[in-house]
Amino acid sequence: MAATTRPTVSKSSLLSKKQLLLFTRGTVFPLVMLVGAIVIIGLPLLMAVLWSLVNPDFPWSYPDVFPPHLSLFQWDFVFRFTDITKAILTSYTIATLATLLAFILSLTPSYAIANYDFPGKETIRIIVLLPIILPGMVVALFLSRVFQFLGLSQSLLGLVLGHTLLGLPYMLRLLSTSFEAIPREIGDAASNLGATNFYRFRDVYIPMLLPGIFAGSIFTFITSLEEFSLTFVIGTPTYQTIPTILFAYLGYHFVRTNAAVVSLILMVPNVILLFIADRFLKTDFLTAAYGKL
Amino acid sequence: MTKKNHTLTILLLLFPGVGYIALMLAAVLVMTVLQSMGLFNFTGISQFGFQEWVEVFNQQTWDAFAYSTKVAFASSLMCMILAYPLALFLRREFLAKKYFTAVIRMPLFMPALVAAFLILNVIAYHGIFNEFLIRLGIIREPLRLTHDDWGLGVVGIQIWKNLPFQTLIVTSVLASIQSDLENAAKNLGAGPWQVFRDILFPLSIPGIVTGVVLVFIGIFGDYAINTVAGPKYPPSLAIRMYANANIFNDWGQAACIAIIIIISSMIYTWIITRVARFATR
Repeated sequence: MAATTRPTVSKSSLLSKKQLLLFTRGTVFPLVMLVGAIVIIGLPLLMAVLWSLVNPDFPWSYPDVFPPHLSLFQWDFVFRFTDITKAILTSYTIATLATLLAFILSLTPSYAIANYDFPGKETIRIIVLLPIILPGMVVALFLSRVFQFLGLSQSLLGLVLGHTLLGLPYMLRLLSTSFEAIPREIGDAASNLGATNFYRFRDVYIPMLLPGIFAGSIFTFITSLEEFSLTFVIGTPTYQTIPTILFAYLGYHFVRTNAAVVSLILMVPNVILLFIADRFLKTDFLTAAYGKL
Repeated sequence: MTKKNHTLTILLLLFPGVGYIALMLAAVLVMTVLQSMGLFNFTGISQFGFQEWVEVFNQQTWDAFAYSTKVAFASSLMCMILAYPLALFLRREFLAKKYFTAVIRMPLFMPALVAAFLILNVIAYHGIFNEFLIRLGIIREPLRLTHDDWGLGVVGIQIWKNLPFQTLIVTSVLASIQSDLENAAKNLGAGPWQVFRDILFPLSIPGIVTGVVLVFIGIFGDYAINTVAGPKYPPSLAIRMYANANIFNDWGQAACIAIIIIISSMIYTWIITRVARFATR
């Protein structure tokens, strides 16, 4: 009996030691990392949500870890007594128009970038990236001077044109990536079968481009929603967008609870849009937008 | 189609989007240079000269320059140091990887001002970070982390905001390295450290440098986060530029600072590329 039990004990302890190591590497370590990530990313978010729900009759101050009482007072206040509704409308109008314009301007260039080899292609790629690379405040300030000259300062058209400039890099990159993914032969086959350029574009390219168009639009839209410097210099005080209102609450008159509400108004649609995009697009469009620079 | 015709077609196709960017940015740059030379002065007399450039090099500009450089170097270096191990970790398959990736990507979708606000709450004087350290007994007095003279608050916000972007770049660069090389090295008896040192690291550097440079330039020219969380003095270069233009109505000085920002960004890009090339030799 003893002879049969001993080997099994040592075998199982040997296994368990190896298993323990595997368990640590495969389960414990990833879980620790996940919890760490959730704390570092999630805690600031949770704090913002809590600050937006503070009831002013029961102020949240040191040393309370949680607000003593939650209410929707701050939300009601921000919507009732500030320009936020107008700002939301302005923000979304500008973003929609800028996305449309960027899409129209991007169609033929991204086709050319994907389908032709020509000298100076690298230079073109760098020019396309410049609106992202150049410091936002520099572009904003001196574009405002140019716009002043053209009579576009403090106008909705000026804001749309400026936001289009900043969204174009994303639209161009994502569209040219999806043009590159379409095999040359398909377009050629359509031509051979007698399709004119217009029909080839409408019936062959556009359906295959849809994911790219979708991703490009979302990125341009979000870039426009988030844009602060340009709106701040060219648009205020005539036009307020969500970021310029948030800036006012963060800098000039710092009101933490109001800032929390406006932050959430600005942030939540972004996260939802990108979450939808992530669910519906099979290709990793984030890498296409940001990677391979 | 003749060759000449072909070139014309390509140019016409490119023009809408690329021409839009090129024309607008050219107008912006020309306007900046002309204003720094005393022309297009909207408030005073326009006169060509280098007077603006003589005036711009003073102690305050220098302080702002040194401050912006310091914050940009500290933040982008920390981002890089944190992003690389994270990207190496993401190369493997592990439990709940999907959720981990989703969580660490979140800050990528946050506007800069929102990121600033979120972190300000955490690192405030009686914020949760200070409270935590006090309860653990690490510090007795809360640390002053927002609007501090060094710019620690700004560095913290920039790291939180830019780390996902840097990680994304390193991950995609690492994924593009052919696994044959790694397998061959392993077959020849190389350990994980040796594989990293001799294959992954040198091959990944050129791609990663682009990411580091982009993060660096973004932080160097930042306005919003420094306004919200930065020290009272010195301001960042972009704040000084904005103040000159829109508060003091001195567009000549603002234009000079704009050019200083652009040229220093280019010089720093060159330096970072140089250092990276030296490191992989």
